[in-house]
Amino acid sequence: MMLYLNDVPTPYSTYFQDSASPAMEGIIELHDTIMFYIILITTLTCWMITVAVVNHNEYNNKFAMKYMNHGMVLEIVWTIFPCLVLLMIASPSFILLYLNDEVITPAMTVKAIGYQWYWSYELSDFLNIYDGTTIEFDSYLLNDEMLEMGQIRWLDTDTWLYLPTNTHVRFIVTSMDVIHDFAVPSLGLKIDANPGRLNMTSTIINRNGVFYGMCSELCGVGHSMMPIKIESVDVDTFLTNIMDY
Amino acid sequence: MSEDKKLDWITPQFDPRFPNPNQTVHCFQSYVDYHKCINIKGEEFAPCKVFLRTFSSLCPNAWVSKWDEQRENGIFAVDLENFSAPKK
Amino acid sequence: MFRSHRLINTSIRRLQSTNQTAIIKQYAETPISVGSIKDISTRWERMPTAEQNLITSKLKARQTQPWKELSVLEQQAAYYVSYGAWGPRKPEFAEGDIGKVTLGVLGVFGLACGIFYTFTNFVANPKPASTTPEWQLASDEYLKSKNANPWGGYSQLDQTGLTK
Repeated sequence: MMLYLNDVPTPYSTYFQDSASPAMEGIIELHDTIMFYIILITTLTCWMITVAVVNHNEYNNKFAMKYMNHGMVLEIVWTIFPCLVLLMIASPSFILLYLNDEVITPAMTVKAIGYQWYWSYELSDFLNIYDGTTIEFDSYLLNDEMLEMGQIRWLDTDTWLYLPTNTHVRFIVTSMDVIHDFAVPSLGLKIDANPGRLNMTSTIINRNGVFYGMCSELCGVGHSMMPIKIESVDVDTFLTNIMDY
Repeated sequence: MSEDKKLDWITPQFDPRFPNPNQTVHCFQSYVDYHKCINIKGEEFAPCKVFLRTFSSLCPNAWVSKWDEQRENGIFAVDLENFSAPKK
Repeated sequence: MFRSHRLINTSIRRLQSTNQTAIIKQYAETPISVGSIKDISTRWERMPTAEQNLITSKLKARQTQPWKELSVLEQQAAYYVSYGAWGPRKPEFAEGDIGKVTLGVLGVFGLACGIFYTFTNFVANPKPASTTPEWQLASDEYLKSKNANPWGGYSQLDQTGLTK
């Protein structure tokens, strides 16, 4: 059984990457909760089908419900039971959805802008554009020739986004050409980048590390070659880096 | 953290006019408000800075430079000079 | 064989030439001879068409009677003629063809594997350098230094994971 929990993708991994934000922990929790019902229902239906095939066929038919037209109790049960199951799946799902939906008190804003085929990041909270001192950089894939020993192929970029840990970070995601999608699995982020529209989402990174993501909306030939790399550091380190920028 | 420099770090907070994930109008409205504001009160008027910081944080730089260009050419979609200020 | 043909031909001719309703009535009331419909499923496809037609029309006439008055043999024959595994209902593969079918499936599967192996090993580009063990060790070092995968294990190489 190969089961890996990673915040970088590894070969043949079969489960979520390690979570690094409350949203992702919620998503994993929800997945596991729903999986319980799925396994329950799959087992039940498989058992019913097997019993039907084994007990009622051409050679072996113990009884036939020839004169049974109605089963009031049975019909009520098999109508109500799925409703209850759906309710039990829906309630945690909606809770998570609306928890993740609103961005109430962000501490910083990052603009992630999709281009064919790279991401561009802008940090303009602390300074203003008219001073010409906003932080703005493009993040390109390192192709095979530029890759140095140990770098992760098709995930490592030449520059990447530094973010502080334990800070509520707001992302403003948009695109300048076609629809892209800003996705970082271990942070529970996935939001479309539409041209002419600013989409907002947020995350709180709760540990140091590097997190990789990919463009998740088919955007052309370079779709597979516009990865997202985010490195989270302590707030102090982050501020020092910003100062030195 | 270096002692000699200080970061003046503010990010726009939740605005009940724009509660949705779609913040496009939030950005644009702040840009319009800022330029209306400085047309009335002048660039040094401190409360106008709120709008400046909001749209700087939210709008992609490319959008801002495009709108600036439109303003210079007089083809910006909103009239920033002649408008009726809200009455008391 | 020749004689039976003549007999059947005669009876068919009689069926066509004489008063049909009378003959159908006669067919309907007389049980079909056991010999002509016994083991019908094994003999049916080798029968001459004329004999098949005769049995069919006799069975058709018999079935105008109440079903319970037909003998079991007749019932079986009627079912076989209508729904039996002959003509268009004959299965494409008989039970004895299991070996042939298995062989065919395995053959196609083997061919597909062969094509896949040929393409991946001789036609496709060589694997990128990042798949070598040295490279992946270096990747692991880097990810370890960044505290990647704190719970799941950071390794790309050590696939047992969970060891740190």
